[in-house]
Amino acid sequence: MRFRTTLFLSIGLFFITFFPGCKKNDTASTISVSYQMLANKTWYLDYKKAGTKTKTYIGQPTYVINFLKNLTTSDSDGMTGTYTVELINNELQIHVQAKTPKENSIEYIYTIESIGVKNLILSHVLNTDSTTLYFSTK
Amino acid sequence: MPSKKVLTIFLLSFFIHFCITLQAQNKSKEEMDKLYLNKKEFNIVKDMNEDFTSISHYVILGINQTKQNIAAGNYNSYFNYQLVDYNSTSYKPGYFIGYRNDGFYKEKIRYSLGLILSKVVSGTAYSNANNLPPFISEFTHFKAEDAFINLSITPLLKQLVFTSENAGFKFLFVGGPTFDIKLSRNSAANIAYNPYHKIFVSGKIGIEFENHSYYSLFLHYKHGLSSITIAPIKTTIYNFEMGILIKPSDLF
Repeated sequence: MRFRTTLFLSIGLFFITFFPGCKKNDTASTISVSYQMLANKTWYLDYKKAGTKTKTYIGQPTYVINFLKNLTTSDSDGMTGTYTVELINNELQIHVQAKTPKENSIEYIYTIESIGVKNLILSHVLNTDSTTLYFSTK
Repeated sequence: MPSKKVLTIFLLSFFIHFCITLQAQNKSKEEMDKLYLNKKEFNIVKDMNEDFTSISHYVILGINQTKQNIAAGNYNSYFNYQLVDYNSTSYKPGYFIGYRNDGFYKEKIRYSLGLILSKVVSGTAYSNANNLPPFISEFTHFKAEDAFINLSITPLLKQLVFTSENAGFKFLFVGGPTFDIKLSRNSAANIAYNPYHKIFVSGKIGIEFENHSYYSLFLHYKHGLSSITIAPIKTTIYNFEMGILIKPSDLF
């Protein structure tokens, strides 16, 4: 009697555990984790790779960009604006809409090659030339 | 976090089972036999049931120490995690509570069948790393989950090693498989790829000290027999369990 109850309970629980947990929201979770890693930090450019040439900025004045939690951004070139992280065709991207110090509107897109808590690798294409930017939080 | 629905069902089922057991204990032998024989649809179970005798019921509880070894292979993601922040070769403590049936199969073979709900916190030891010099040294694209809530089904065979008739205690060796059902959800970092299996199979061995059938103390070692993650990531889990078995009638 007792064994039977335990047996049925075990089998029942075995199947019950497969009912929940079928929903997925892959894109939303990827973007959410990206925001967590990106936001409220100042990112310093350490290396810039264009073609086969790599330039280091370590120990020198360098380009700096802030991404804040309220989805605003500012950089050391004086540009300020807003940003969003998007996942388009399996490419994780940062879309920036900003204004230059002279109030000219500018829009650009970075592709996130890799993002971590302390490291960020971005790439962008300008006139068919691809540039990879290596940032860290210091 | 585990699904509230699953947890509620588990606790409710456990409570119902416990009530049925107590109710059955209050019936006379004749009443129980009559009830039992009326259930013709359970003939197979009935035959099996007759093979299991001298059944004792225990509440099982204790602490565990867990570590997992992770080989991420060529897994790739948008994210990088520096191993200096995530690598840990140590065992980490968790706890568990559950229910266990002990008895004899065909009056000769000692066995136990346990249903255990466990909170597992685990050290995460990565066996290989990615490098991107000079920018990032030693990182992984896969962040392993370091906390799980599992429901374990544990059938064990028990072998008497030593007994003292005068002192009334026994030492037993136990061994068998364990089927862990992962109830907790993945963290945000692992939702997209969902690299974890729902069920893990492990092998368990251990020793148990039984004192006058009042309580038992035990030390078990559990070794993952299958990877808890899907290819190309291979994750093996190692777990020590220390705890006590107490009869519910002694508690309530």
